[in-house]
Amino acid sequence: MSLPEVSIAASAWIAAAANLIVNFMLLRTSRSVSIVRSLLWSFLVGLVLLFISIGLAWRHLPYEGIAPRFTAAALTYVCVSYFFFHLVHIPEASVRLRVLQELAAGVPLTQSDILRRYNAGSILDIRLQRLTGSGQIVVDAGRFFTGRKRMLYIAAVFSATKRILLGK
Amino acid sequence: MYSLLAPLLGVALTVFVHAMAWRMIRPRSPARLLLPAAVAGGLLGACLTLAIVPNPGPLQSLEATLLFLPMIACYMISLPALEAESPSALIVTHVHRCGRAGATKEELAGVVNDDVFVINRIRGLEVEGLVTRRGEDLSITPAGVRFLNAFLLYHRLAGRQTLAG
Repeated sequence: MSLPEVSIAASAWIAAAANLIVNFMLLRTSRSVSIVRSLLWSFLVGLVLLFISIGLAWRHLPYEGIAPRFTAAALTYVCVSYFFFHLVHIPEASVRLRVLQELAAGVPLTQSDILRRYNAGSILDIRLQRLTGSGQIVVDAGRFFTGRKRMLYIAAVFSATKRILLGK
Repeated sequence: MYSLLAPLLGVALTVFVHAMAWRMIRPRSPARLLLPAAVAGGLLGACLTLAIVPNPGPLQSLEATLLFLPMIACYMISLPALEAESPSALIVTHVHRCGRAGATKEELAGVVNDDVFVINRIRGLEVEGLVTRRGEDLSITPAGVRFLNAFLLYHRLAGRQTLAG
């Protein structure tokens, strides 16, 4: 096992650690950066670091059989980053976590109590604010229209995956 | 080759086994099926790949494991989105379907309702043991507190207090 070989194996995790550190520093130091934007920037920093470490290792390794290992390293980084993205983003968007937060004060609440504090109306308001803020939908004369299509494509992918996996 | 093929095969088999079990058994908590599916899929994927790429060596075996685990983690963290409707996805999809006519807030309020998005979630939390019901009263369980704190820890450390939803 040579150092370049070990560095390929480690490169994805070093890049993922850089992703985490950069994201944490961005969130701590800049209040104006949204969580999603900070995750995007930190992902890109980690990606650059990954390519640098792969590039440095490439020079010292035999060409044959190296492409699958580089692909595995890149895929590992993308998967770890995807998991990290959702781990950080879920607390912003999760209805389940909000229900738990409402109950976390320790005082039992009835279902009606919870619905008075947090209901479909508040969900709709929060999500419309986010979606119009990010340009996914646009408002014109009180009506909503499709804007940027990123969320639409994500919704289509999840819908298709659900149909394939669950048949519904 | 082993470090790429074994985890890809393992994840494909895991997803297949999990999806089939989900469709057939219709469990109340599909996440509980994931661990046995991942163990079965991972081992089968590794064995099948060994038939193609024998003697991969310890480093490639480690790389394969270190790719398999994050891929399974990605699938696991995507499960709630597959299982339940996302309000944002429903909104953008409905707006898109309305086309040039657009959608009013009242029309969207008909699509995003309490039954699907709140009451259903509360039931799911009870099934998973994160919330308990005594008569009319709902309380968070110790497992629910741990679950909540685990997700909020990073935000707290980063100095970002978040109200979810």
